[in-house]
Amino acid sequence: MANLFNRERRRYEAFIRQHRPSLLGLARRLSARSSLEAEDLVQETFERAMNEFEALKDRTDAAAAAWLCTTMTNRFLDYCRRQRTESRGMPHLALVQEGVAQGEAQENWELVSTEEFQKAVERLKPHLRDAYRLHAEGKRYNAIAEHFNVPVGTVGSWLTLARRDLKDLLLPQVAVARERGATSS
Amino acid sequence: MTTPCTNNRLHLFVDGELSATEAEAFRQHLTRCSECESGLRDLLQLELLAARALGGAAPVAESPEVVEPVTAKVLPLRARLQKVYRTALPLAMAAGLATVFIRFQAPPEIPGEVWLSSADSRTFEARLSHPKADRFLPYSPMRGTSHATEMLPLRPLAELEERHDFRGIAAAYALRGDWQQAEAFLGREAESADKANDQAVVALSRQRYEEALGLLTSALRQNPNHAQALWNRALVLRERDLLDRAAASFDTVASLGEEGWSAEARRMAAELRTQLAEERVRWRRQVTDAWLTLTGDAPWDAKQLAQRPVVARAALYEAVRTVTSKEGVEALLPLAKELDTLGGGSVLQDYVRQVATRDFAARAPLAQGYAGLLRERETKKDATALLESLRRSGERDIYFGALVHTGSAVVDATALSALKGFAEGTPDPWLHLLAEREGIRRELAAGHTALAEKQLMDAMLTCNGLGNIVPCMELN
Repeated sequence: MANLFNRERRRYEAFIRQHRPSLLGLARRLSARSSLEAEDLVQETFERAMNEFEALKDRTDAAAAAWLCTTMTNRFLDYCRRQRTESRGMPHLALVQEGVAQGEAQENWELVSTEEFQKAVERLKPHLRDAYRLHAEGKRYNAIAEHFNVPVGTVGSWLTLARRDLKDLLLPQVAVARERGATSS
Repeated sequence: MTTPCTNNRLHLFVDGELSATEAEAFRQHLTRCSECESGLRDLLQLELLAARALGGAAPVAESPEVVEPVTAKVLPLRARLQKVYRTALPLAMAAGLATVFIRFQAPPEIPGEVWLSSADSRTFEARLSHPKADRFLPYSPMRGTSHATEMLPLRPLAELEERHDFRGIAAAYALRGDWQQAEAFLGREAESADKANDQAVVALSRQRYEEALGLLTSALRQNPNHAQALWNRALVLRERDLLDRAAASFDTVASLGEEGWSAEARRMAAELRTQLAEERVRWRRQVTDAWLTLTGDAPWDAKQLAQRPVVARAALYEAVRTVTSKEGVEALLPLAKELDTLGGGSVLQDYVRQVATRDFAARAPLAQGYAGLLRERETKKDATALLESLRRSGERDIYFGALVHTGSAVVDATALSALKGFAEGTPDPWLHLLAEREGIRRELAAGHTALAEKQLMDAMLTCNGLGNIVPCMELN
């Protein structure tokens, strides 16, 4: 870590520029209606990334993003646990417990490229695809409901279904990617 | 009934479709439900991918319906920049802005928050040498982890690194409980009393007390009035139950007249002395009671006495030294046997048997004299005559007891060598430790504090290693 501060700062800043907007968007959603600051969540995540930067800088964008996502999720869960223990007046014992199954989700998703994701979205049923796209553009449930003239609850179901289908479409890709990796190495 | 896991609650939560109360309830639920936690991990990975692939903004950020809760958190750029600098987020900003920012801020002042300047209590007892990290605050151990997750601002750290202020960086990490990083950065700091002190704080936090004492001794060799090192030395000695020495080290800190620390050191010293005095009174009373039981006329039960082996052992020595007949000594054999079972070997039984062979016509008056010494412990009766008779007699065990009680060996080199000679002639580890203690007291009286404290630490370690069969507290 000796010269990271000076020599690799530019590289690190480029890394942050690339990942920060999408991460911050996610952080805002997680921290909405709580005392948690999205900026803080992202900041903590990048601080950890800095310690791991030696390993992260040479990985694919997808892998780096998956790592950042796992790290930010861990920080968020820490926050939730802290809130819980504080509200009960207990010491922060829960902080020492690490989350479950964190590696698994990351390993699956770090193999999915954005192109593969776009293709998977194309393959969704039309109403699920359109609802998911509107949502990804930033539309709330009631706006999407209005657009399709359906109840708000339906939008919720559609998005849940869209995500389930995306996962089903992408996870076989993950299996293929793993195989490719195994045979090429 | 709707449980948190049903009705796509997780999706509603991540999409910001829950009310504040519902969201709070769900966050609480998340910490207990591994299914939802793993669902959250997957969902967030998917949503991050969506944001990267579709380039869309997150609903909460863009949607006008929820602008309100969000705008409350999104500061205008200028205020944001200030906030960013305050929490030192610059690496997470657009690089262009950061560059401009650096140019106009050079040389930047290091914000106090690096060393938790707004904290209102200390989370660990030890003192770091960096002045910014050594402000006096009340110690509040129960809040030990509250700073652990506090953000460590990076830009000021980079600045500190450029200035080669590794001790400052280490202090920032240490204050947040990251001892590993602290230790790594201290390794890069040039040698000094301050560095040794801070390394000792790391060792102390990891319960490596002997290493900590060595480092502090080195710091104090370079600067005998190093306030932090003196303070930390007191903590190390206290951890090893050397309360008397710990109090002495706190006294020296108190005499330096630092604001806050001085009064705290005085209070700590007083507390330790009270604790030690109370323990001594209790201990002496227990031993005296047990001794009177052993030498009295009423029958006693060896097994029952041996339930408090430390007290029983001390009382047994006194009883053997003070009974005035062969039969009286032999009556103590059952207790010696019980205690030997606990401690292993036959040290005490051998001792009792050996004393039983003495000529009690000669031994009895000396034993009585020694009993008088014990009874009149508080009156500080002049024991010179008794010590002289004991020295000339062959009753070396009584002589040993009398020397320990009167503390003569501290001032008298001949007495000390007699004491050591006797201890070395027995296989009893406790007598060895007592002889060693008298030697250490002599070193202390001669002003060889560092050496004496090192020996005391070693003696305490040896003592603790014997198991709970001897009164280690007496080493104080």
